[in-house]
Amino acid sequence: MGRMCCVSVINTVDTSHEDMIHDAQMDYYGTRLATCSSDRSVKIFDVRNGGQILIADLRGHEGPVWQVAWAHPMYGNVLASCSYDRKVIIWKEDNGTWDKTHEHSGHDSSVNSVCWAPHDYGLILACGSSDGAISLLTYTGESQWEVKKINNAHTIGCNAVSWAPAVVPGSLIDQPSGQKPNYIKKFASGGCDNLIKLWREEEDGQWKEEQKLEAHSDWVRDVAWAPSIGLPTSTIASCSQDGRVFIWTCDDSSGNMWSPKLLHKFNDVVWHVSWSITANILAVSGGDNKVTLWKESVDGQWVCISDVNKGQGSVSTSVTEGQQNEQ
Amino acid sequence: EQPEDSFSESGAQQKRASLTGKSNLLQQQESGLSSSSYELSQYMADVPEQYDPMASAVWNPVQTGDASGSGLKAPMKFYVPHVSVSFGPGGQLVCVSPSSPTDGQTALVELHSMEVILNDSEDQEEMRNFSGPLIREDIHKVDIMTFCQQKAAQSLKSETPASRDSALLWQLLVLLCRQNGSMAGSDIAELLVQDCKKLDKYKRQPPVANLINLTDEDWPALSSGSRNLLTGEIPPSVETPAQIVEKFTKLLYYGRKKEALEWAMKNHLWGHALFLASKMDPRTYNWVMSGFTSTLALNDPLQSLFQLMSGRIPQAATCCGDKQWGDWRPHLAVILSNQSGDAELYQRAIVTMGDTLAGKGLVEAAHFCYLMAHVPFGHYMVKTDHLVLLGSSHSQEFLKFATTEAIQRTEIFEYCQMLSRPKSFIPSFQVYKLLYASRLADYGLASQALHYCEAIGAAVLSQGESSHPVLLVELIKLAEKLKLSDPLVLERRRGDRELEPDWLVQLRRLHKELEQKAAGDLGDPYSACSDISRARRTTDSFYQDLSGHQSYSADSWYHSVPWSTLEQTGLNQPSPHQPFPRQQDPCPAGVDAGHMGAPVPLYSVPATQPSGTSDSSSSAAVTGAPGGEVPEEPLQTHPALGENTAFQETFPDLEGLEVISKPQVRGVRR
Repeated sequence: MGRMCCVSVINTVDTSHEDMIHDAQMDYYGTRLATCSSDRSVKIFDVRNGGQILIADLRGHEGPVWQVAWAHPMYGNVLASCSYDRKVIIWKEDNGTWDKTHEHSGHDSSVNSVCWAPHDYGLILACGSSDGAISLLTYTGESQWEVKKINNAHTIGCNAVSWAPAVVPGSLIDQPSGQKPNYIKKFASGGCDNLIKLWREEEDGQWKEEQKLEAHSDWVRDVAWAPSIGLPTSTIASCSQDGRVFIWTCDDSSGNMWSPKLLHKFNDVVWHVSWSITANILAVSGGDNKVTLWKESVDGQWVCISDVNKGQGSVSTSVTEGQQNEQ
Repeated sequence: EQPEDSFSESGAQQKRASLTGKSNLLQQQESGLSSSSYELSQYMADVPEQYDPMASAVWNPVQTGDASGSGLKAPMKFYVPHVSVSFGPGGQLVCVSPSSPTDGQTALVELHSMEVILNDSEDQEEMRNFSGPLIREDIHKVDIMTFCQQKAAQSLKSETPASRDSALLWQLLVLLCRQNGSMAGSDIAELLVQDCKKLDKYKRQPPVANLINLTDEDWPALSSGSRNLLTGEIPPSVETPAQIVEKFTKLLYYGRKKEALEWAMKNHLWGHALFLASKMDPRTYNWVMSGFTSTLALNDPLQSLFQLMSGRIPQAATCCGDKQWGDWRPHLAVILSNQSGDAELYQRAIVTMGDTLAGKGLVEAAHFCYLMAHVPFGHYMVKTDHLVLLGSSHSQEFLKFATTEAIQRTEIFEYCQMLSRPKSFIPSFQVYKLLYASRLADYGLASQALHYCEAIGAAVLSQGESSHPVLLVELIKLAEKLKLSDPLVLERRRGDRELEPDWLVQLRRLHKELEQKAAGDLGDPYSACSDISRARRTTDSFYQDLSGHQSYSADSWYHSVPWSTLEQTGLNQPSPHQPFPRQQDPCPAGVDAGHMGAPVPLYSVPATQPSGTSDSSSSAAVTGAPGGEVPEEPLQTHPALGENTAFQETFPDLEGLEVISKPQVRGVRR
């Protein structure tokens, strides 16, 4: 069983945030860390080689900042943040200084989640809000951002958005054909209607609801579409107020038949699910403030490969509710 | 609660959607469906006061002048401290500590090492025990052979026939490794029969009765034994060999050749029978031959040999794998050791045997045969392909099929092939090395993962246009994330983000070429594309000319392409109107600086960019050490092409492009 404690810590960053931290994301290369907090600020640290140098302290939001997302470095150093103040701010580094480069105020309520699309599609940001809408901001050049809005995506509110990877499922292990693959832009959203919805872009550029995934009995708190190098299965993880984490898989390349598998039922709300960079491992964290790591075994069962009581430095040998599968 | 009343009190800008939402929530709370009662309480408040568990002395109600500020409040996404968790590209796990700074706790974020976390896991151990990627210069054959022997020993521990075949496959790899990849039939035959300790006694049979025309009654004078009451057989004659021959000769004095033959066959005087028959007509000869082979058990390996030498696919090829048929190995051995004549027939015989074994679920045995027949490796999706990963059946579910062990085993085989032919690799296998690299990366073994990317890159580059397009794209994506995990980079440049290894630069260039070719095939309107490719060819041939001059063959170049980083100050390249260049153009403006309104070349092209922002990079490219076109030895030198300078709005003067030379380092492995 994996051990996650003081031994495994390679860097501790004292962010000096004055209130709860809600998100921390490393950039594409792992050299920088962005954090955001209820203290309304977004901070960026240089974390190379075990250091913690504050690079930027970004002010501009007027409420707790819920999430940050790094864009692909081909667009420069770009960071998006979303906040209770109903705004999405896009920050950019120019000549060593970070500045607000765009502000999107098109939502009527807290914006809960932001996620950049795969860089293959351009510079596109999806934003999910408590007003139930999802907006898509596309950079079209010359400081212009085009906005598309999906109203009433989730009744009561949308809590999370996550893009599908830009790869055709199964294309890596198939015989290479001479044709360039045709990507269809898709993303997943999770909402207060207990649903996960899958959205696809039609040929006319409009977004349409493709699927509704129902399994949770309470608000969906997070949704994460697994990255892929082109293996045959598409995978989505979802977690909810109901304490459950589901793994949704689809084996056909048209993406129509999704089947849920219960990863685990926790005793408390599960806040976050997050995939490793090539989706071999899933990190889950919930109301008990424990982080567990999971992976799929060869026989298709999800097993917990690491579990820790945070901060206590000891190994907890049993996961809640007798999940234990490890030999 | 008078929710409706509180609504009417709020400002005129009450949003309809919120109103609906509130009613829903109210309904849900009343019906007991929603357990997010905390959130609900937000909607219930008539006055937007703070909600105390937030401890938000800092937070103020949103009052942006919006008249609805005094009305409805959305629920807080997070209302208690929580542990946000995410992954970094180099095997880091980012964990927010669930502290409440307003209570005096420090707001910490911890970065954990996945490698350490999963140090005890079997999966990571399995990967650490394998010294891949197996690139020729690096690897000691002994290590590989030891690895295979350990695996073979492990397999043998469970004494099922399948595990025996599995051990055999590992032992084959040991043999191939020792022999530098050459598959001499007789050596392998030896391997096959080495532990047939008790070679099956292939039961001899009496000559089949109907081959001998005479019934028992016709031999009353000759048979001295009486009929065995149990089996009905007449025991062979107890006459001495001398007497048998005498009788044989006697029959021939009378010219009774057929009877003589029958006598000889019945008494196992095969030499005489065959000699005589060979001088007679072909039909008689075949008759005697059949008589002889019928004394052999059906599953006698000799049968297989004789059948093969007679130009037929041995029966064993379609019957082996059955318990009753016995061991398949001596049959293959006998075929392998006697490969002369019709090579195509031998090939077909072995493949048929493999197919039969595969059909019976004996995957390792089948694959052993396929290797002997030089069957090419295929694709998982193509179910008619024989072999995709060594020792693993691709009719299984993908995860069951693509095990770490199967990938390692196939890589060892590829390595053995490489020992005899240095530049060879298995094209359809490279995608599995990428899968393996992805597993390494997620288990925290990032630098090893990057090393695998490099190895795959070398193979892909040598394929050029015929490379797998998805593999190329995904390889670049993974490699660029991992590139800072190279320990040498960390040591030299302390995580300089601009550094890109030479092979990655080449891969990007290949990708661009292929994209532009595809665009060109579609009649792309941008003539700039052809300019780029022409320029590139010029560039390439230029480098080829210089290739002989400097001995950088063992070097791998890392190229620093400074872009707007913290270190660069005072660079004024205002381009306020184009912070983010478009991505849709198939031909990024590498050629025509004025084309896009902002100079953002993908990389410098010396021949067509005489002036402008890419100048210094192009000059550096020219003066940098050249390299071969495609790695003859892996990872030739290659000058910087400013790959990562694209898509910046400020494109600073490149004040001295650094090209760092370093000896090719392979030694830093766990």
